[in-house]
Amino acid sequence: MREEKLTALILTVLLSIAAALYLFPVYWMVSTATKTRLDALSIPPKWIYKPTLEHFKAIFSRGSGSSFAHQLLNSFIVSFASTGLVTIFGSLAGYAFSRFPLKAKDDLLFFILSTRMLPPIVVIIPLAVMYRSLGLFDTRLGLIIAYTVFNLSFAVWMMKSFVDEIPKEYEEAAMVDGYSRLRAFLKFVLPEMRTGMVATAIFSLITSWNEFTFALLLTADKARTAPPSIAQSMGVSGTNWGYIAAGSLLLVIPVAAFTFILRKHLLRGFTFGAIKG
Amino acid sequence: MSPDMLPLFFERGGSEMRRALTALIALCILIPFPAAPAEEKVTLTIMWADWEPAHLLLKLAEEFTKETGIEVRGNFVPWPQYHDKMFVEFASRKTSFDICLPDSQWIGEAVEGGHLLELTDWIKEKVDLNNYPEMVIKSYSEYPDGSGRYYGVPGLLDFVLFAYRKDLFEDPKEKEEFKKRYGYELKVPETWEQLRDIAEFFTRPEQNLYGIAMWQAPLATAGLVDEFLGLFWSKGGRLWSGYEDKKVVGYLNDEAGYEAAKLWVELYKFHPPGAANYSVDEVLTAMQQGLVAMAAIYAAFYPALTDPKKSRYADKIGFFMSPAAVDPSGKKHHYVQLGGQGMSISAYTPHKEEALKFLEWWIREETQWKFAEAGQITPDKRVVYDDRFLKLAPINEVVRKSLPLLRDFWEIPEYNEMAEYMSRKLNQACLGQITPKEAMDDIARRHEEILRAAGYYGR
Amino acid sequence: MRIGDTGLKWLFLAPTLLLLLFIVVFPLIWSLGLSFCKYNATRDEPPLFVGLQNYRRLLSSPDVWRRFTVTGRYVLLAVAGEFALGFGLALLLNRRFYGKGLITTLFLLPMMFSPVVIGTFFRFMLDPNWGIVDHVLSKLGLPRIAWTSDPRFAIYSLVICDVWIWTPFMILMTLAGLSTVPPYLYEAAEIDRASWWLKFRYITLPHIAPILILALLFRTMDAIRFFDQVYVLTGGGPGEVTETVPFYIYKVAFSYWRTGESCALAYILVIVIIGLSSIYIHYLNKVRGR
Repeated sequence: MREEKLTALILTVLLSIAAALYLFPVYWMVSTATKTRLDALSIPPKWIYKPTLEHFKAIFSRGSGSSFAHQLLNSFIVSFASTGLVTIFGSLAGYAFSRFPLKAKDDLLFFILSTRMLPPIVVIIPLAVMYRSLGLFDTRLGLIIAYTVFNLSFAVWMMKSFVDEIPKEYEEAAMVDGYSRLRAFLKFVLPEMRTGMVATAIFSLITSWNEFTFALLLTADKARTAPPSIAQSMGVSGTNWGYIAAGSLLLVIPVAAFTFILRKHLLRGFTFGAIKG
Repeated sequence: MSPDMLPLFFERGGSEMRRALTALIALCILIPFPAAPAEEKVTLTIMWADWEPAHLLLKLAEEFTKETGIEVRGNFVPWPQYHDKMFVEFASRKTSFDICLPDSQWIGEAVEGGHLLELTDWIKEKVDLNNYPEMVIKSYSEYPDGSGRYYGVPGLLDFVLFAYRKDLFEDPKEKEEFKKRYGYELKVPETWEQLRDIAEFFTRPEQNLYGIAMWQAPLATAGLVDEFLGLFWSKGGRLWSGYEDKKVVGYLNDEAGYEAAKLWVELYKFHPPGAANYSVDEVLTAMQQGLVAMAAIYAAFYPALTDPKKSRYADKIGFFMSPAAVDPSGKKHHYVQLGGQGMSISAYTPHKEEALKFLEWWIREETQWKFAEAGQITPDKRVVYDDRFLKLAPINEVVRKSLPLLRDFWEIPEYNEMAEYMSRKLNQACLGQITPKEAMDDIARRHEEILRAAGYYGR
Repeated sequence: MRIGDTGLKWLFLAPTLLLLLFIVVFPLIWSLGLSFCKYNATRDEPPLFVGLQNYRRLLSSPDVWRRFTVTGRYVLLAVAGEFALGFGLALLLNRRFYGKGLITTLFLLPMMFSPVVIGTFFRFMLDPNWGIVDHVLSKLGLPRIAWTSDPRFAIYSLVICDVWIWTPFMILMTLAGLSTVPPYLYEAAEIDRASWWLKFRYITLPHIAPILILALLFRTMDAIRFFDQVYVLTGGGPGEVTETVPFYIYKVAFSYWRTGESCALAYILVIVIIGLSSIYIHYLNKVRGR
């Protein structure tokens, strides 16, 4: 056991150093978020400076348009709702594809994959036209649908792959014991799919939380989410580096928290004494 | 999943899992929008880039609301996405805005699609066109050029001007040294040839100082072409034979065109390293941080250089107008590249009357004065030629001198591809991948191809 | 109430299939139809059928081939880099150490930022004058590099940025894949005193291979069809050395307004993606068959 703890310690140190190096751009973003423009663009770059909170203040007291809080609420509703839908729909379809016989199964799976092949930019105009006529333009529901569709093919393929790894005997044994297929799925298979669901949910949440083009082009003021007004801010002073950095850091917190909360379901051998991996 | 099945699933899932899923499901049941107050009043929505002039406009519009009872709101979009946002809405034949301020060269693109309300009769009745220089009306209002059909009123005036470091230019030692080397006095350049000398003079990599920063990026908007054309025209260059037959080969790439391209490529040598992708922000930064002695900017961005919170040399920065040049035959020309935005009305607005009222309020001398007093730039001659105007902003003398010399490039819908190709080829020339002559020949040929494909030479 | 297998099958598939049909089919047909037309989406003129003219013009243009080469280089370098780095890190992260949850979350962080923001921010960090990267390089005695504006390096600035953002995706997927390996297999191998390599080769790899191939498939598809990085980092420049196909599609669609041509090029790209994904799926079926 002693040796094992030593290995763990060495690994901890090594990975911490690697993480620190890898995350240097995030550190630089924090530094930019708390610098005035003068300091942020200084030649040569400044390591030590007088920090300012002006950019964070500017985000919450935006001059015009809908407030940051309102956009943040939209972001929350739209991305969590679509993440939930994607994960549920993807798991159900993934199970169906894995377990049930289906005519032209490969073709159907390929069709689902193909919805992710077109560059999104060419479908913007037909989508805008369609949304206008369906009354989905500038609604949260419209964005939820768009993002759900956006991630669905990934979710289906991912979940199918996961169910494939779960032995059929799981639910067959349960069904022999008198469970219906549905109850057997819910009680025995679904929990085994957890890691896949968590990975799918994290990835879907990240994509919809940060999505930018559709959020801008399919909304006006009511349903617009936070990223469009953060990601590319430019005024008469040029690009608002501090504002962009501060806004991005604020926006990353919820997603990071979500991932951190679900970390246990993603990782094997989370605590000592758990199974070796 | 029926509700009585859910507990089954949760039995095996961890407690975080349960909480997360409950939250997800709760969120799927959509929280409705806060109920909008019953609207009796008309609300006008203005679309513009998300920047200070737009915020100011919205503030000034409070007066308009007081006067008419019409509410005004903004739908402001970051500059890099502004064009796409506006035109995707146009393409869906319905807009979430009533009034918009398209960048001057977009007018053809918007009018040809029928997206802007024609204002010809209204303008003839309500607007005295003599209040503006002819070029301003041509760029922001009239389309096609010379047709007498109008689609907007002047909004924000913008054009290329130069900033320079007064402390360097006025340093007696520098002045003496410059005179020794070039044989004439060091002062703000009046010609592009002088500008070249001064840029060369101040290029001192060992001091981390360079001569000049200009937009160099291979883009259609906020790219090389915006700042090249002032030089091109002043050198006697022509984009085409004329609006009527639009022949390019032999015009754009004539002797004057080559000379202009050659000088542009030479000027690139006096830029800081890595300047090939310089656009708005990089040029401002280079000037703010004292990396360059001169910088070419659009006038609207001047506050970036004079604000001590943004600029290390805020109190040492002066401005001069885009210089003149001499063409190969020895004739002097002087043109300044125009930018800025007109104010137009969406063809799809249900509030035409109210939007017209807003335009009428906007072009009033009184409103224009308020805009100018807040440090913004107006093309209204009643304001610009009043001496009170000169004190309102450090660039206003340059504004007044540049106003009669303004010129804008193509405003036909194909401008985008033409401008971008020009930027891209000259960018390659600056990097030494092709010669300036090859660049101009290429551009001329490609421009004719674009125009031919668009059907301008008959089908 | 008992639902039969057939009923359950369609109940499970219906939400996905209906949603995809409802949203995707109209844009798919719209763009496919227009790829055979001359059409400008901002004009009132109806589409003019021109047959295969858009495709013929595009496929015979050397510029288009140049853009495909650039895209190919970019995608290959980026996806390979992400895979190597992400896979390696995930194997380490899957071992036992202190602060596992925190360190893993930290490694996933880059993917959580908006790619547009990161692209913009990398442009700022990679500037030769006020960027931190060149500052550090010069302090280490290395030469300054104009990353985004030197024709020799611009493509690498895109690759570096892409790798930074998407390596976490590979970590995420590898970790998810590793969780599917039944622990008793390792225990059995332990008893047989199998070496690390043998365990990896005969237990880990076969189990995670399907997920890894999926990860590569989705990452490749997304790298080919998105243009955010190019748009904010290099604008296709300097000159035209980083002009990728999707970026060009964007310009044709939204700047030049040759809607028909942009759709045709998009479908050429789709055909390339179909070809590539067929290869991936072939391997996917092969590893599953084992």
